[in-house]
Amino acid sequence: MIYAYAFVAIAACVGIERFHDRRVKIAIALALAAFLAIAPRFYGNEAVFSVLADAAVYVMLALGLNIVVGFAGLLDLGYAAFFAIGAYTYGMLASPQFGLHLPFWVLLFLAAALAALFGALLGAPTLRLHGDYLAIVTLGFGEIVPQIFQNLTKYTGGPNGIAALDVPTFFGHSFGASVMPYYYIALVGIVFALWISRNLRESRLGRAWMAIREDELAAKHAGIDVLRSKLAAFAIGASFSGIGGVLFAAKLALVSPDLFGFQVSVLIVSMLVLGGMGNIVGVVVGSLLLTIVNSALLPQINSLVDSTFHTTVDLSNIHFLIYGAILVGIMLFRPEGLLPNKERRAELHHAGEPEAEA
Amino acid sequence: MSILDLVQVTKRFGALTAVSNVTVTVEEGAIFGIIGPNGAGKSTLFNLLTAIYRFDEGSIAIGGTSIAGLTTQRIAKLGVARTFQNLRLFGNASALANVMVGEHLLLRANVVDSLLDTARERRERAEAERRARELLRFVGIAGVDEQFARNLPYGTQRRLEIARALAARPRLLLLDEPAAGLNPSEKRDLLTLIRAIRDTGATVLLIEHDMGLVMNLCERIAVLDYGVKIAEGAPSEIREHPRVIEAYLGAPA
Repeated sequence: MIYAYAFVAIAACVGIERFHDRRVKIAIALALAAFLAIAPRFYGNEAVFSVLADAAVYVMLALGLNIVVGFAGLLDLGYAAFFAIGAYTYGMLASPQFGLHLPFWVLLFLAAALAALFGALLGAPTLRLHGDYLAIVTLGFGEIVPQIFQNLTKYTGGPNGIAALDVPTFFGHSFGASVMPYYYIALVGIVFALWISRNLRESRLGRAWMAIREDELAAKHAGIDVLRSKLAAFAIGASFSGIGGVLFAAKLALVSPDLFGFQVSVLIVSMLVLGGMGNIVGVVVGSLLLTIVNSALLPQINSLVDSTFHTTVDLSNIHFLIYGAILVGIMLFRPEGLLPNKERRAELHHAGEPEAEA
Repeated sequence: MSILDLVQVTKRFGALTAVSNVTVTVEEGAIFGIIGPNGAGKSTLFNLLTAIYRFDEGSIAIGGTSIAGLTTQRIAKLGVARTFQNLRLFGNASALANVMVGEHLLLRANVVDSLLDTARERRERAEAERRARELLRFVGIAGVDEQFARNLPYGTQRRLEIARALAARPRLLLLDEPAAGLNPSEKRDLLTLIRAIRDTGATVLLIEHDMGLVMNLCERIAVLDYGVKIAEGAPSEIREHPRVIEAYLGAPA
């Protein structure tokens, strides 16, 4: 069933990408939104929508990272740090940990703001670095943040994290044990993230990012404040991840440092590479595919293997092998990703194949 | 009124003095040429003007404002735009987007406008796009708007870079070898274009190797050799100047 949903969503995305008529695109998008909104009425399996809610959170994360990597061209390998900051914001301020029980809805915005602040704080000293050097520093930041949460035992519960987080309420109605509210909130979050992404791409700031990505020196000569633009990319990208973190933590009712390790950063970068960096729809497809593989396909294969051969194999250990295989495969056969934007396609096919003349 | 004043400007790279004690004044509205053999320090001079390098001695003022300590971005705000000897276009972006980046400083939309696609953002974008199309027509490459910069023919790329520089409505336009790689007919068009640019009120300072073009186009020329200004004057004076002839042809035997 989960595959049916994923298939519909991905097919719709491909449709949006392939049709050129604006009205057709909008029609497909609205139809998809309506389908995703109404589907639970007819098919109410919580487990499926739990996976879909997680997938939706990852789509948000990927859209956020896409702003940093795809738009501004800054390779950030520590993006999970901001996810952690969002999640721990909820964990520490809506749990018995400090006896603080701030409302979920307030924390959504607070986490976005905090993540943006940390995005800017990380950015400030590192944005003079380029390419590989920036990637290494962000990688370090991505390692440091979970370590801090792990070692500040007094405030964060250390390696065990914080459990029994508050169950959010909506105008007095508790979410209870249902995953459906998270599914719907994440869907709204995606719509919002898509809207923001589209706005940014077409905006003055978006053009400044393009210029920085393509030729930083020429960008400076056009009067673009390179450092400020990069900081804006880091802060805005991080804020998406802050919101995702709150949703994730509230749904799981638990935060612990091992949920936000390097593998999460790699996972999100893999989603971008798979889907097509810089292209909003491509990023959505990439993140859906990988989440489904992760949360549905692998466990099913796992149980199939176990029941067939009467073993107890744990396939979750081969996640990295799978990401690696996907990345290598993509790099070999389709370096621009499954659904690239025309910029990347041009960039990556320029050397070998002549571009078709318009 | 002078738009650019260089007073005894010196730039050293280690033991090499790339620009030595150069004094040049460029009047507003002029077409001013800088010539000299390879390695004479012409491009270094341009790079000092846009703060890619910092000068070691002397002073540079643009429109009366000293640029000592200013960043490239601040200098752009003073109304300086440039092209590059080896083109630096945004290759994986449309010609139109390239020019629109050039308009960056004319736009006021802030981060919030960009995030929320406010009325100001939309209005400015429409304006910027209209002006960009106009500029592409002005430099003579209308119709390439949607094509990627990297896919354009070389001569078109050169013009596109000029259009991007003009998009900022500069008071001072620096052209670094604008005729390099152009064929004779393209060079004639370039001559017309640069005059048209000057007629819009901008001052043009250019580095060029093509003597025919420089002598035809520039009202005043400065000659650099080994970082030293060896002559300055009208084209007719430069043509006859013994030190210029020596620099280009070698000392008489």
